[in-house]
Amino acid sequence: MADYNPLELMICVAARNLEDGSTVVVGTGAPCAAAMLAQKTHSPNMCILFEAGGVAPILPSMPISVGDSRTFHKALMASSMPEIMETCQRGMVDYTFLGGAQIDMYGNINSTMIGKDHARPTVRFPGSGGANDLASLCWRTMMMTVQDAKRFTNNIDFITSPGYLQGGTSRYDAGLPKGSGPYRIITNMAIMGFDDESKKMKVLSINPGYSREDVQDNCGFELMWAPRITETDPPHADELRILREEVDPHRYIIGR
Amino acid sequence: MAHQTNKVMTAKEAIGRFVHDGDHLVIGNYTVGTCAELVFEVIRQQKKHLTLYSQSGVFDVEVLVGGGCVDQLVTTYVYRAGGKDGGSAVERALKAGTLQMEDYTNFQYNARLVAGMHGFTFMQVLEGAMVTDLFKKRTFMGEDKYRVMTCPYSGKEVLTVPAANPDVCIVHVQRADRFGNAQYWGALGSVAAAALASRKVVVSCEEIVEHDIIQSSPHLTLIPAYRVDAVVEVPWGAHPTEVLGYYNLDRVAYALFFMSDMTGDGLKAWMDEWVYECRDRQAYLDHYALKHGMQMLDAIRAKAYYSAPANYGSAFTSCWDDENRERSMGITREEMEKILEERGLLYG
Repeated sequence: MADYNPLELMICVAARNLEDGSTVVVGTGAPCAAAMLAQKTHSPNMCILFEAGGVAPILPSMPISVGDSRTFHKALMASSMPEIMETCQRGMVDYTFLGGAQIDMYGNINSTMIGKDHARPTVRFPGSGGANDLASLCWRTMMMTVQDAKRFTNNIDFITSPGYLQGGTSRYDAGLPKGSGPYRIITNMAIMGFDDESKKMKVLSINPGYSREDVQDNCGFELMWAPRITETDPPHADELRILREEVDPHRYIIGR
Repeated sequence: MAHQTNKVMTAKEAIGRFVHDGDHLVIGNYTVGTCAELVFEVIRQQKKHLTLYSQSGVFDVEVLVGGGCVDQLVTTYVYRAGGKDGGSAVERALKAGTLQMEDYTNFQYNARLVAGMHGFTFMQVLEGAMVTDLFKKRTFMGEDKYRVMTCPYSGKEVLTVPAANPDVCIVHVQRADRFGNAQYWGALGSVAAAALASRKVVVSCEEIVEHDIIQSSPHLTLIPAYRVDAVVEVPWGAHPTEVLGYYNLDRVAYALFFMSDMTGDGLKAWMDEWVYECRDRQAYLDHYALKHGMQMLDAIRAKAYYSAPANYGSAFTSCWDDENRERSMGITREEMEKILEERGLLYG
């Protein structure tokens, strides 16, 4: 048995993608844990921004909301929501993380509702918040999610945040910044990227304990596969120690 | 002068005077420092048919919708508790057809208020949303949710949102003086735009401070007195949400609320207990102390962590006394001009 849980793996993999000196807008929860882990390991100079206005805080502990007092702790700036969004709009932000109830093969995400009628939803989720803005404007969007065929579907009920739209160049044809878009989808089973040409979701590595069949069977659309599929590098002992002892000692995010 | 009028009143009086049935009401706070007591007072006074604006409609929107105050909602984010078996007041009201909702993104919602604040009629926003269902799905705003126009400079098709000028903003801040100069620091969110776009502003604050406190720290003033109609002193006025420098989020009270909120009956029972049966915030705090003990509140009181003061000093003051003498040099303007003229500096 692995000595880590799926969320710990996803957070560690996400953190490794945040290189030193990069800029990232995060919300709360797992993305914030990934940013904190990166900051405490290989990326001490990472600039973390929070939607409610905090710029580059040294996070003493896990914030509960994006306007939490901790998002200003030893920060460089206590700004406002539009200032953070303007920073994204001017192309200054490398990474962001999104969540959602459904994602399609081009990385378009639904975080608004399930049902046929938008006005009378079967299930009403939070909505965009800043998700559409961030997905539109940050260079690389990542998502951490549990994978199943209902969530990974091409029949998504509402596109809240644009991925590669209909694939190919359609995202850029629609006026979104060239080179921006979904970058990594990190699930409990595999790590996905997107094909350079078609912009379809493409498996890069499979997490320990899962097979190629597991990954495809738990996805509602046909996945592409990188030429050489590797096994995802599992969390290292030092990553787990910092994650458990310093980032999330109360196990709010990584669970008990 | 509006900036020298004492506007201190109770929440009951402020909401009674400045919030009316059918108003467009905006919650000034975003994710933290929610003006909970003002929101509760709106519910206690049974205000109806509101069009509610909230940047992130979590606690505030849930209780206002649950209290039957809202017909139309403009927001970017709502709450839902409890996974498959869970729910929210917003979801229940949408399903019942008693609520209509327009979905924006954070940036667009803010742009509507910024346009209103500046006195513009619309604001350009990024066209990214045009390819999503945020643009395509519309409810009560119809065509006016977004409009596309040709930019007169670049010739490009651009996306716009209409200005919002709500009838009244209710907002909680750390401190204000009795005239209404409201100081707020920390997560600035969209607080200033929400207040300054609105026709009336009701401010609640953790404490009312002397006017000279405001004068010694003008960089912290977000809403000036001449824009404010009422000032309400409400310690713990944002509980169970947090106020930077005063108290943290009350995780226990917050979690208990959202557990109740999963069903309509649960929310009703919670509102009976905490909104309707507590006539004001003091009664709410008394009830809290009885139920959970004051130690739970003491545990979330902020420890002081002061910002370095800003130096507002200068070499001289450049102000003129009653006899028209410059205070630091003790000479009149004519005398000063004469000195400058003698040295060839008057108009050079």
